[in-house]
Amino acid sequence: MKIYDLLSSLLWLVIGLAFLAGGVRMGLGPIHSPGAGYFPAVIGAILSLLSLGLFIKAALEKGPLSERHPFWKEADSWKKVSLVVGSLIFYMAFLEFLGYLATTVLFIFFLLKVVGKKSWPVSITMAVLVSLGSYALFKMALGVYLPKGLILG
Amino acid sequence: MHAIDGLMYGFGIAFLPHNLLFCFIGVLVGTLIGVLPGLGPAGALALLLPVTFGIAPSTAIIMLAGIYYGAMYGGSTTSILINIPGEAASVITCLDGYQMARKGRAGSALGMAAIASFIAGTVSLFGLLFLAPTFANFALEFSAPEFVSLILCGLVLVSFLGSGSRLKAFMMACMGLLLGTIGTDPIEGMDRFNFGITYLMDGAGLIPVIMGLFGVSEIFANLEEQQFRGILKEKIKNLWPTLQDWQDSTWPIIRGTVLGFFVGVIPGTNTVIASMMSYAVEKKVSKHPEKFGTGIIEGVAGPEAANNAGPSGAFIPLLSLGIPTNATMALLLASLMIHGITPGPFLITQSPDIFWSVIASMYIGNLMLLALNLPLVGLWVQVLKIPYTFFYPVILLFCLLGSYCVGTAIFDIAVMIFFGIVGFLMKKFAYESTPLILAFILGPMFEENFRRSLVLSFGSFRIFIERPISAVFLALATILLIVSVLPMFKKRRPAARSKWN
Repeated sequence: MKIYDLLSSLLWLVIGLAFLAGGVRMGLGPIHSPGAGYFPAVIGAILSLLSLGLFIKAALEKGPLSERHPFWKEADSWKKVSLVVGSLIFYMAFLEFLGYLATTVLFIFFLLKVVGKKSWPVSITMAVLVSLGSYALFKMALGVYLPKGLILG
Repeated sequence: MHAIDGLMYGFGIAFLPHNLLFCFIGVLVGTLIGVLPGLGPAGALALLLPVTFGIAPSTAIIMLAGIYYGAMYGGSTTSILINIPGEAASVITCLDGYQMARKGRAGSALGMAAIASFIAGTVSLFGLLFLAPTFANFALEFSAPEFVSLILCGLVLVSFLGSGSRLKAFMMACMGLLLGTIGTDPIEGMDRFNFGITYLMDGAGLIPVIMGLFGVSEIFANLEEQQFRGILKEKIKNLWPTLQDWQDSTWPIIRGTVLGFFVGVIPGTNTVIASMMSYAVEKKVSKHPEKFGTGIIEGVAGPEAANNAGPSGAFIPLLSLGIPTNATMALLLASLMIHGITPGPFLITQSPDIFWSVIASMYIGNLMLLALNLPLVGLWVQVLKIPYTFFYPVILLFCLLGSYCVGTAIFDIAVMIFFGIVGFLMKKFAYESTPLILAFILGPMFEENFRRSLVLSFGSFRIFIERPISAVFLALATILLIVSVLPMFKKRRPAARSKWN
């Protein structure tokens, strides 16, 4: 879609320029011994040029700025996705505080009950099963470190 | 080592109990992934990478490889039974496979799909067995400039062969290269682009980025789709194809195997392309092309053979040169790197255990898969009935764990979430992630060799052209670049609309 290309190309342009600037600052070094900044600067420059090209290409395209297709496939998909993103952030924030078991139980429960709209018993059972099962698999069978926290761990 | 000696050596390792176990786990998971729509081999590999931390590298690759070619077996099940491809490459199998099922011939279709997959899988392994060492020997001549040109050529190919806008694909490759510069400079040890965050000193973590870009973003995208699982009507009866089926399928299988194998070797291609090409070829050479699409066995046998020969081909550049040809191979490369092994021409000599045992295990895996996919088909069909709502939380959990456990750092989870969102937006805005991930993984190697080349040549760029092998790769890359740009001056290449728009 035209507007997507126009906007995103500007983003890449900025990123490319940022790497170019950063690379130059770090020092390009003599050509027979390129410095740390050489590669990022060159690739950053290429990215900037390409994104400029994309911008121009999109701008020259005939046709409407945005087409019929909405960003979200269904009107309220954004709610689902936002809730899942939220749950991931929750997990990140509380994993070391509450410990693996507790955080995982809450996480799975939330996704099944709130996002998936399953019933209380199903959500709770699955949450506990998955947490215990994964705990057994990762901690006991594979020896991976899982944080102990406030609750059991 | 001679191929046969090496193979015997490999079998010795592959038959060890823990390797057999992990091979089985790999192909089992692969079959499941193949059967279940919504998760592909690349995502599954990403998820299981953390599981491989504690085990030996050869065992790890045996398992991960099993997932890859296993998925090529499993994908046909849903394609034939409910017209939904379980895995991208099986979309072609839907065309005739489902029609066969509707005619009551589901059993023959399923049976022939499994058999064709098995034949292609095992026969193509011989290609891998004999060609990989040859390639590796050839690559021993390689020095820094050759690697630079090879990687450049590979990245250009991957961007060129993608499905959407090539310009955007090149941009993603650049972005991947830039992401790879975050961290510590490989030659001088300087901190780069890490804004003083200690966690970034080793670079944006490979695993969190992969988990985010492939696993999490895929889930976000799938949340939007109404997950429709078609209802299966009849029982599957006779799994054994008829004599006529065998006759009709012989040449398609042979052609599919050869085609799939060689397509697999080329970077940037994948099994989807291989199976599509096989279908097109079969239709062209058939005496009754008009019957394609109505449910004939050639339309199943050929593509299924092609998509199973593909992985064997794809292993050649990885094992002999250290160059991944697609995202799944890139993840295998990542797994090797995590175990401290740098694949390249020296892999055969420095780690023969890995090289030969992986190939040997692929024979074993194919046998296991034949058993899994013929009699146990009914079981997989039952699994399909589990709704997505139960699956994706577990997948997300794996992603979270995987990201966290690498460095025991919460920061990595943040990276994963960030790239999950980025990946999702990329899908929406029609940018491909494969060039990005490939460039991200190959970036450091590319840069290091590039700088070394310039040191070798005292700053002259001519070194890349003066050395013949390097020149060839560069020429190829240049041709591809020119061909990409040409359409801009003629008709516009029809803009491939992203699936998510």
